Amino acid sequence: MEGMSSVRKLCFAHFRLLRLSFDQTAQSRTFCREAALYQRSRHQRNITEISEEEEFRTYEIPGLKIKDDTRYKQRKRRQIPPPRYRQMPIDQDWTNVWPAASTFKWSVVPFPVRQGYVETATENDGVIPPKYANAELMKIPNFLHLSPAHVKKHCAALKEFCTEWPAGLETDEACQKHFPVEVQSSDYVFSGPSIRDPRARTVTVKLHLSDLELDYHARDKFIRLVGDCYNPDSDEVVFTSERCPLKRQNDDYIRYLLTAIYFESWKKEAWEDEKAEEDMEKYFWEISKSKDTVIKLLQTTKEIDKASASAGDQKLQYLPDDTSEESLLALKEVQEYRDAISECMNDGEDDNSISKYGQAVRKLLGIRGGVNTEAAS
Amino acid sequence: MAAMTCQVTSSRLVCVPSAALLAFRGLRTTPCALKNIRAGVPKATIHRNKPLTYEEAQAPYKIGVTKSWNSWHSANLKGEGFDARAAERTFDDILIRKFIKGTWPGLFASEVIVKRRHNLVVVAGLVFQQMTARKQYFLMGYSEEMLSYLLKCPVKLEIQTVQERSDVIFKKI
Repeated sequence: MEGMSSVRKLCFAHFRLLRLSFDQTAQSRTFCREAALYQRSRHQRNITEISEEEEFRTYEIPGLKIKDDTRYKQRKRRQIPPPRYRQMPIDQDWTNVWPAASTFKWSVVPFPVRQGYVETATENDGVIPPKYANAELMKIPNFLHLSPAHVKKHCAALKEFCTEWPAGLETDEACQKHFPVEVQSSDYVFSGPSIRDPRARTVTVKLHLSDLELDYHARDKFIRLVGDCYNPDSDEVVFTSERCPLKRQNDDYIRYLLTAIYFESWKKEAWEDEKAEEDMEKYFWEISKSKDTVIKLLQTTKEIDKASASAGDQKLQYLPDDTSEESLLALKEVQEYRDAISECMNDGEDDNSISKYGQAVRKLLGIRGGVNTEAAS
Repeated sequence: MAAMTCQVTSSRLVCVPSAALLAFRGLRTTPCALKNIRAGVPKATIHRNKPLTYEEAQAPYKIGVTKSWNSWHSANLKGEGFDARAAERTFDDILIRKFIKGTWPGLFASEVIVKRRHNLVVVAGLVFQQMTARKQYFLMGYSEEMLSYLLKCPVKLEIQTVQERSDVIFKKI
């Protein structure tokens, strides 16, 4: 005990010495006061007192005699008022309490909330940490600035800048009809001191080909010029541009592109007449080998029929006397055949089209049989 | 990893490529043991009196699980290219943390949390109530002013105070 108290006294002496050196620049009155203390330490006082009174040291029970520590009292801590949420009325306006996005403040949030993972009873006494002194709650983004009351106020403020939705554009179809061209572009925001983003200059223009005035040739030429931009399933042509540095430039470029392609597709160049069968966009029976074969076949058959005298031996009854190409092409059987084979070639083969083709061939060649033969074939 | 077979032995995961794969590759490999579970994990003491805050008590592999990030910005999101300048943002965060550590010596009870709201940088954290409020306000103003000059953005400090050191102690190891 004695050893401990002496250590403490040494500490106090040291403390006093420090205070002395720190206050060198202080007023002379303060200096004198400190100097007086420094001259006579407690230890020295005790020794003189003891030697005067008795020979033995008295045993001082710690805690029994209240020590005078007024000199070394700690700086009085200012009374911290209770947290704000204790004085909040229930029907207050939350938008005034939390007007903008802010870090979580435990003393302002009126409800109890805990955050943290506690595995054993040794961690925080087995209790999930409360909102006071909780850094985890401060880290995560909170949406206390977007309560329904906030959103209502935002909408009310924005409303004065809004106009009514135009009449006559209630449905999507109406919008599509009146505004067939769709222009898409994006703006980007993110955290950082710069507002520039290279993705912001991309512009996309979409429109349906059916909304453009094009005849058959113009439409075919348009599709050939546009290439991959045309989607045949949705009949949509999509132009995307990011080659220019600014959004407006890209927008102008696409408008120029669209205008140029549209007017080009209406023009017919001289070399377009050299279009051959392999360049054709779909199957045309009129220029195919199948037509030549059929004509030749029918003409040959007619000649055979003419050569054979009897009427019963006629191979094809329906053939007229005039076997010129025009009259043959006008025949019902030939036209049916033409339709059937065109359908197979252009629209793809399925049960329906193949059976139709079969029917047409049987009719053309005068063959009986088949699954769907009529009674008089 | 899908081609490898994993055997769990006690607390370690030993990944051994299949024999077919090894033969195909023609490589000589030793089994790789995923042993790095010691980084950032504080060592327990004999007397079990070392205090840890909640954040220090969670190991780095718990980030995203029971521990959240200290820096929040949009430069690391998918689709953000080089122009988001993630490296510059990271450097700014390091600068902020060094600055705060020096300006508020021993006063921060938690890690420094950095958030970005567009151009605004928000520095948050828990601070001990060791100083008078006047000193604290001065340090806040000083930090905001200096950091905004350094980072060329408006900087706001959203700190909260904690009365005692024991308020932030979560666990003793």
